[in-house]
Amino acid sequence: MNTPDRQLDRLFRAAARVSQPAVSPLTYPAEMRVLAAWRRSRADGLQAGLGVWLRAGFAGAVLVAAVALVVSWSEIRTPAGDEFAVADATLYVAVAP
Amino acid sequence: MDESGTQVAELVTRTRAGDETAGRALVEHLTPLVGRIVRAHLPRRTSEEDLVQSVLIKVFTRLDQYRGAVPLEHWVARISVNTCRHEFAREAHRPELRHADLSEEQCAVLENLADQEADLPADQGLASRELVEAMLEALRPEDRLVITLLHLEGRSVEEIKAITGWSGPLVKVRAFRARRKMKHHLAQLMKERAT
Repeated sequence: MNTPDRQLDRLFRAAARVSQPAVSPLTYPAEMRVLAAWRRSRADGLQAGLGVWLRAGFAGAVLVAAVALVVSWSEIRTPAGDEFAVADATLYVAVAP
Repeated sequence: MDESGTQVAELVTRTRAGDETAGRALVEHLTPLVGRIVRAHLPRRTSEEDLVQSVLIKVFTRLDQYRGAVPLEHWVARISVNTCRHEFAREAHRPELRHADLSEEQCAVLENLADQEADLPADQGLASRELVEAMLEALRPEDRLVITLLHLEGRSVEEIKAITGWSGPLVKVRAFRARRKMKHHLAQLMKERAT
């Protein structure tokens, strides 16, 4: 029976039998554009890699500075008891020799 | 891996390392494959060469993402099909085909479909293909894709899954719905022909 399903199948079968002409090779300018885009992406990838290294280096430096600050914090916080001693002695010598 | 697979793998490795000669050889190797896919899924008013070029640019700029789990050709086919699908999606207008738009040869195909039960003769192949392609233009990109892969290229559901990344049930549901729309459209053309 000539149902719509059968009609559609026959149409598909006839359409699928048509062989397509061979694909022509890419023209020289198009090939060059593909290769140029590839080179550009490689350069961008290298730059991105360099950026990652720079960021990692900066983060490391910040970490070292923070550790150094923590380690020396106790020394900074300790008040110097005799920091004016030398100046006082100089004054005594100058005012009351 | 067979000899040609090994050669392709070597080309990929050398291209990744920056070897321009290998890059050129890879372009030459992939162009026929990409060209065939693009031709089968070419949206209206889109240049075939432009689309082949866009696909190859995508392939080369993503070459570092290729892990080698599937043959390179499968990976490239998937990129090609998805690029075509996105191009389809950009088409805002999907004209419905009317009987008055058909050529004389396409009308003859319709006559034959309605009156005969045997397969269409070989000399009506081209008109049949044109008719199917014109009907496909009225469909959504996914529907168009699944009909082309399933009925025009004769691919299996497994192959369509690999190319599109859809699940098996999704492929079947889309194929069913797309076929129903095509059937409805064909019936409409038949009705217009009769009046």
